[in-house]
Amino acid sequence: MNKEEFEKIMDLGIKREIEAYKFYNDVVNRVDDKALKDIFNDLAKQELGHRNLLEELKYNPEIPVKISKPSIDYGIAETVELPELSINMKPAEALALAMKKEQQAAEFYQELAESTSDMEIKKLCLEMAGMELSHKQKLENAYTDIAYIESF
Amino acid sequence: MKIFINGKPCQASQKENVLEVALMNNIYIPHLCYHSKTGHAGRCRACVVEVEGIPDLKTSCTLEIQEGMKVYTNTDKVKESQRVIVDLALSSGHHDCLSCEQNGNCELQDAAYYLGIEKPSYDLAEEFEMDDSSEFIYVDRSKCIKCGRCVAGCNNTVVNDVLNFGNRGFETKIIFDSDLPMGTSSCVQCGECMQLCPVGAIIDKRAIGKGRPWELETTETVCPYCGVGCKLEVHVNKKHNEIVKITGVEDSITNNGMLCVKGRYGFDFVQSHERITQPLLKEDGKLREAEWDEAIALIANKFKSIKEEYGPNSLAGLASAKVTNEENFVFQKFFRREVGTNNVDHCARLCHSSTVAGLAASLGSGAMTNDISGIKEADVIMIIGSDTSEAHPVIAARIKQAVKEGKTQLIVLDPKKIKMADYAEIYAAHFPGTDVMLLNSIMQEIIKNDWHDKKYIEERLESFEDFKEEILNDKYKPENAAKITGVAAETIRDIANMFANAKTAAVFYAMGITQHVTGRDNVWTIANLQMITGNLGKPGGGVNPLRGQSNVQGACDMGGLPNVYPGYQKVSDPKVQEKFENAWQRKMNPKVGLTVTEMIDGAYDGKIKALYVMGENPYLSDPDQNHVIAALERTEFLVVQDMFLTETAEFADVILPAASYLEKEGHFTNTERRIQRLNKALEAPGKAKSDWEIIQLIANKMDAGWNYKHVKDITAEINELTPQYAGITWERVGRDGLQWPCPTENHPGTAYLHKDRFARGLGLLNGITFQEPDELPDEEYPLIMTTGRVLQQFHTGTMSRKTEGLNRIAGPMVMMSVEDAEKLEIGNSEKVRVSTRRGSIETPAFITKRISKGVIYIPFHYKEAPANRLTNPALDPVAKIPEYKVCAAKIEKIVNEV
Repeated sequence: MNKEEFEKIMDLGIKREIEAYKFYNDVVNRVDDKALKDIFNDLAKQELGHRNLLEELKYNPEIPVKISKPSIDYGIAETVELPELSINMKPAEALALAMKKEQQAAEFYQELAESTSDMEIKKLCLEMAGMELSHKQKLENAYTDIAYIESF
Repeated sequence: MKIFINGKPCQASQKENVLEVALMNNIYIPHLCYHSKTGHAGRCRACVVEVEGIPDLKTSCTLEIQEGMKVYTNTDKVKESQRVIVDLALSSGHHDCLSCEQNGNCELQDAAYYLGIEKPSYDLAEEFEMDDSSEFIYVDRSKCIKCGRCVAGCNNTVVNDVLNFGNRGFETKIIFDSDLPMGTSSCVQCGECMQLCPVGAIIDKRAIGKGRPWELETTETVCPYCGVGCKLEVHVNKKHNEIVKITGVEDSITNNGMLCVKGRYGFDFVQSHERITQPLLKEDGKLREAEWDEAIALIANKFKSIKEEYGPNSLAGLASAKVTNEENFVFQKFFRREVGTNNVDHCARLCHSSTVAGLAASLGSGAMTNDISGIKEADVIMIIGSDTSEAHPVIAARIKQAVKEGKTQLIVLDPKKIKMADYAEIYAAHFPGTDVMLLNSIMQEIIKNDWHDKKYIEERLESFEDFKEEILNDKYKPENAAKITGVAAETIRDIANMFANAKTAAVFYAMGITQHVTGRDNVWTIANLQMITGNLGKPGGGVNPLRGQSNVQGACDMGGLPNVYPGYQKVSDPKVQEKFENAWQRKMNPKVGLTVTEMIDGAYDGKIKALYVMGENPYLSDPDQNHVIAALERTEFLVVQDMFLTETAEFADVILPAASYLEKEGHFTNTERRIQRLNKALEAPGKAKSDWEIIQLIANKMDAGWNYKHVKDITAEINELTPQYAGITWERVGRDGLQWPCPTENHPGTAYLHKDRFARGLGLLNGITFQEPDELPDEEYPLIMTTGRVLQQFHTGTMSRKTEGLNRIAGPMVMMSVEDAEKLEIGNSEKVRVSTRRGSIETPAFITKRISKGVIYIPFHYKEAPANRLTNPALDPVAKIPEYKVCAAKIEKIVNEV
């Protein structure tokens, strides 16, 4: 993998994070519910953080950046359907939407890894997928906090 | 760290001692006083070892680990020393193995065998009188080796503080209280001492002569009584198909080997001659035995004809907090799919519906937020409206342990001076029904002193300003609250100070909070307290409602409720309806069904024509008994499925014999949301069947086409349809179980809830306005009556009252204050008449300083003195829970006219 190929993958990742940031930020401005606003605000901030991480990696590839991958994938996002975005959505639906998006991102990089025979590119894509899985797990934990309730 | 034992490299940590490391590595060292639960005592010295570089022998149970240390357990020097010690222990008592009950389980015998000691060298045995005074435990001090395990267990594990060493030197012996016979001491007969005793000195009285250890088969399962969910081991002599004894599972995460007197000894109901072993049908007012085919056909035909004539909503069913998740699942499925109604409820309605209503509104979820093993993390624990050592004894033991270890301070708020008050830093007796006033006053003090958690409030809660407006109202000033609650203003201030300034504080409560017309308000007020002090979403804190029955949590989780399917999925939600219609291939009824009390009213009014009761006993458990009796009498077709001919079953048209907890498999979910496995230890008597099998027979007779071949088929369906339980498969449950939510098979389960955010997003504060109970004392009924449980009995007594020993310890009574007794000239144990506006009962008086003047307390277990003949059926408007805990009453002497 040459520098150009590396930067191309990094740019792709950064673009996805910026898009996600814009998406969540847009939702923050559209919803009135404070809890929902807080959740999406938090998500937007997280995406900015992810972007910063990738930019750091892109411009300083020689400095080791730790990309964490969860030791186990709970697979909770895979059990829910992608909810439609709405200003009336419940907090659990908001988190479901976010974790689905992280799932899709992880799948995107995994597919990219599978489509290449360059071992270095494959490794990088799998690392990116691992990073998205780690984001997914964070959201899955938050989703588990609020989605499975006792109420009658 | 690594150490070497007899040359074998062994991994060790600084927290362990050498004996523990050896045992973990299957290296036997004789030991008599050490036990993993009570720790080292260094008393018996049987565990001595040699350590390279140290001239003297060392007791391995007190020997700290050091990197690279070389330990020898089997040198001549070590063995000789051990031999002398064990020989002396053998010589000091009557260790006659041939007839000793502990033969085969005796740790002294194991040590003697290991060291090759055939008989003791000396005769140093003291003569002691046997202590046969306890109902369940036999004490033979002539076999006691004074190891101290029982004393440590009683004082540090279950923390009952009864056992101790008396006398000195050769005269040393274990004593109960101030050397009283065990049966007349304050011992609660939990049996912890017996379980820890390494020899035959403290043994299970009823197991004597019923089989040697090697003749007994053991099965691990879950206790059938309260909601703690203690893991127990049942020992069965298969030759005689007889339960010999029950012991606690030592490495259980829920109970760590501890049990209460009911869990350990209250098993007689299982093999009681009163068990129903064949279906019974009522003809011309009399019961006759029938075959299953006939009974099932009658039920199916009758259910079908009533459904056709009056519609599906004319049928109703009571699910059960005493049967498994799987059985509750198929019960509600039967009503929803085969009958076509949501008229399913159970007695959770009568104990914790207000918990769910209050916590769901404030936090978004009604479940106990924290776990049992996290109790030790709390700096302050408040117990309010829970007689914990009576109703949830093993949780009480965990709390007492935390207090005794010095980590935790305890606050107890209860109209009775309950046992837990003896361990409390602050105890206050408030009048029944004044919880909101008391807690609001505490919160006013917290806010006025700026002790509330402002960051937590800002980040995680909403409506603080509105809440504050109510709480800061002058009516909640401690001086004003004192007049209403009976708790001194200074005490209120002290409670606020201690609670709010704790790093982590937990609240534990039970039905003293929930069973009020203001039950939901009470619960929400507790949630308010925990929210403003930032005590939710962390280990050791939380709002901890203690569930009262073994599977009340599971029965709710499984949709034994009129408005939700399994997993609290609302019947009125079209998406949910579609999900279940697809899964069950049948049109589902979206109309919310009737609650327990509404079913009884419906039966009384003639709207409910058929009632199917599984393992419940509304005759004794529901309020206003006379109304319940009239309703049962008016029910056109009543089916009762139970182990016994209960008081409710006496009204039934068909009675179906059900298997007990030891005769089936499945799962219970305990109070901390932990799903645990029940394993089968015995065959059901006669023709009794598991509840799920019976339900399937009825369903299929109504053309359901069910095909559950094993209970695990139902578990799989639960996993598929209940998101919280999706990852808790039959194969995964394991010995420790799993706590929901556990949404996938990779998920580890959830120890505590609301970690980073509440289930509803932000926690909702609500300044609850204090309201008085529905019925207050007046001139005619001048006393406040409250109800509850005693340690030795359970619920309506169907199970616990079959053990005569329990009945001898705990019979019916009315607890009253010394002042009231003197005023009415009533003596202790004198039979009195207790009356309310709904009826009267006669019961012996128990006069005690532990209850406040003007308040009386009656346990509700007894059919001969049914407390619920007296209770007020007034309901909480939201949760529909009756006000069992407060009504106006009077007590009269019974004058026998000649």
